[in-house]
Amino acid sequence: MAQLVLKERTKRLAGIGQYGTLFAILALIAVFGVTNDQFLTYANFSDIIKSVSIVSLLALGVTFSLIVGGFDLSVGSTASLATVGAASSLVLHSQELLVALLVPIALGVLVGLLNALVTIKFRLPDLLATLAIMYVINGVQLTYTKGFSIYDNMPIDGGTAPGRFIPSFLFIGQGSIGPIPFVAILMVLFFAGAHLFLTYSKTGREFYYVGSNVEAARRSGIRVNRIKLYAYVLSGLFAAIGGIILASRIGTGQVSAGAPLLMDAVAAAYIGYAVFGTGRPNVVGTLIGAVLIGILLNGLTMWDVPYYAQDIVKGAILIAALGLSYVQKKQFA
Amino acid sequence: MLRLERITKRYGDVTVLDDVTFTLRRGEVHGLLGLNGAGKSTLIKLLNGTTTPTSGAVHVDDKAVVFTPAEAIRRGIITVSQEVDDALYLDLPVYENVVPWQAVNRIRPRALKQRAADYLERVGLNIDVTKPVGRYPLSVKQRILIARALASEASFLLLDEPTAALSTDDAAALLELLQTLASEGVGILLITHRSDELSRVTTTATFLRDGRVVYEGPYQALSDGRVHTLLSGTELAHDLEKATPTETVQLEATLTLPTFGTELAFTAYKGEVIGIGGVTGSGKTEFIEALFGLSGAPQTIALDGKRVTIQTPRQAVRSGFALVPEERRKQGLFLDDSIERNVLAIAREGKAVTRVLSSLRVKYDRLNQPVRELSGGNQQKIVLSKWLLEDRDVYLLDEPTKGVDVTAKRDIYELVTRLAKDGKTVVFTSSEPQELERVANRTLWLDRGRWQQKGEV
Repeated sequence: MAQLVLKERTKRLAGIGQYGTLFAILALIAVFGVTNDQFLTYANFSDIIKSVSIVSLLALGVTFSLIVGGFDLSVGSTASLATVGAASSLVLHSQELLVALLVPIALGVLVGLLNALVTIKFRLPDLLATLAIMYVINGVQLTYTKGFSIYDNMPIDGGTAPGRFIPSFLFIGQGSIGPIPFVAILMVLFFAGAHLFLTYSKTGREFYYVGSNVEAARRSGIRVNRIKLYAYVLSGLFAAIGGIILASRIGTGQVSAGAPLLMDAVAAAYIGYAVFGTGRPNVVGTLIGAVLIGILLNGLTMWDVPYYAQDIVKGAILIAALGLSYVQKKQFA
Repeated sequence: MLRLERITKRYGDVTVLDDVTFTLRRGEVHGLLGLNGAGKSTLIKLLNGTTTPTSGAVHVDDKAVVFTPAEAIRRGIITVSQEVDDALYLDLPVYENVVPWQAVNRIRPRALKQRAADYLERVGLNIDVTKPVGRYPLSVKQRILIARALASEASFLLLDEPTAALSTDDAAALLELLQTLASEGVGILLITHRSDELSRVTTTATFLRDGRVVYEGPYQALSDGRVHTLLSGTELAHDLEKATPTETVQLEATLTLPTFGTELAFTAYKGEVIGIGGVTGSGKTEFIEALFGLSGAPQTIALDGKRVTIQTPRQAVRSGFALVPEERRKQGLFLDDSIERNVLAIAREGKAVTRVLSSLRVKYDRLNQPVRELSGGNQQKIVLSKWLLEDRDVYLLDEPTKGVDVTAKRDIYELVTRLAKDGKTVVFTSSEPQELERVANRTLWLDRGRWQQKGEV
């Protein structure tokens, strides 16, 4: 009997997750909207969307790694590396748009391959291996930049840097088409693509099988290692795209710019577990999680909560999201 | 004496046990029979305190007690469940798994190891007690659990299909051990699907059907037909009519088994059911795994006259093989995923899912139900179903009836026969000779990775 009561309670808790996330978003909008008249403005919402787009893409990367049963902690540092790569191409090497996009993307894919190498070939635990890779990447970009940011007209060797952040590159993070920020369109496209891929394509479904039971997946003829490799490469790719948007938005190549995004991204992915009550990582849930976090951080900033204190809130949210996903997992056990 | 007195157990609206009275006496080996869903596991849970009755009482030696799992263990009621991995600390050494922590006041590894080794010897195991349990195969893990029960000086031992994972020899040794324990005054409850075991060791048997006791008395007094009727409530149908193999060779190979360092020549015909027999450790699983690209070594196989090299499961799947692996839950299913997702793991198209499920008589509530909720027999049918949506040429079934009740067994035999009649080749492993005799056109026996005696070709 006690078990039954417990089960009921578990169910109710899980239900909170299912509709609670959407409810929380609406509640936050209401609270922030009432307490601050600047909150419900077009300018502010466009701001929120711009920061959400970056976090959400990193979170999308994390989601791919979570789906196959891995965990990519290197997305923040990959995003940083991508901003440095883009800035370096533009400012130091005077390259055009295409190169400024391809270099960071190639770097992201490379990090993904590296993560795949250590987790799949060397069989290191995902969490620790990608943590180590995170440090390596941080070190690489610090070494390359000697710890300095890359910006227009920066002094080098007596003169100034030859190139600059070109308008077409800046458009990605700052421009808009009509009233809609360009990044919003990008974000929706990537998420729709990822969702369709995971839900309707054979390969996409295999991601879930691998995460659910590796041995059974192998015995069903699924190329388990290849799927994991895809997941890490996609994770690196999306982190790099997030990095590109970040570089374009701030117009500089800042060292470690992506580092604080890691926690937001992980929290968004875990909130995503709860959204549809499945207790599984899923793309749409991740997007909603990223929006929730974006709105919360924006509102807190408007309340003049300092950024360092916001970390406390972020940590607390992550714990709540993890707790909720645990409760939902238990429901199926 | 451990007694359930007029117990009723409901989960929500579902009555799992309905006014059941059951007595387990010291010194008896009491067989418990019933199909999946008849209430066997709930009965065990009531006896070991993991669940409490909705009405009725549990008595120990004529005193009503309210059980918690800890209280049950304190009173010497020890359960050896089917899901051995759930009960073991896989990454800890064997000896720490055998000697219960309750019994240890001070931890002296040497003494502990010695005690563990002594108990293991009683269950016929002579293994390195310092190695982690996870390294050992299922049959060893099972006996480690029984050794643990001995170490905690059980007065009642509840065993859920303890012999399902064991070879015939090991099973015989275990049954003998149970009889010895019973003669020393331990009350033993034994769930098993094997009738030879029941007639050999049980002193009494209880049949459950739909949550009610339908028979209590000696098992030996019952005919096969009567057993079937008691279990299923229906009359025993006519026996299977085997398919006749064709003369066309489907598969020809000399397989390498790296585990044994041996080579096995093997030929199979279209429409043929080949039984592979042998005790645990004889190489049945290794043989199947070699065919399915799981042995690590590349295998050259002539399929339908065409030579293919198979080194990975994917290549095997692409060449038309299907596999029902030995460890269903660990290797065959995505437990938290829905029935539908599991069945669709291989096939691209999902229209025929319900048709396949009903042709196998799978009992389920809804397609998006997690397979974890299904009984063993129905789970096995899900594993089979995923290979039935697309055409396969060779079906490799590794102990497909292990831990499956009689009606589900029949459904599986029927499917095997149907596949053979459609011209498929079925390789069927089992450690039960009667079963192989029943389904296979010919049976090959393995012993340490070599053919023991060739059946007639």
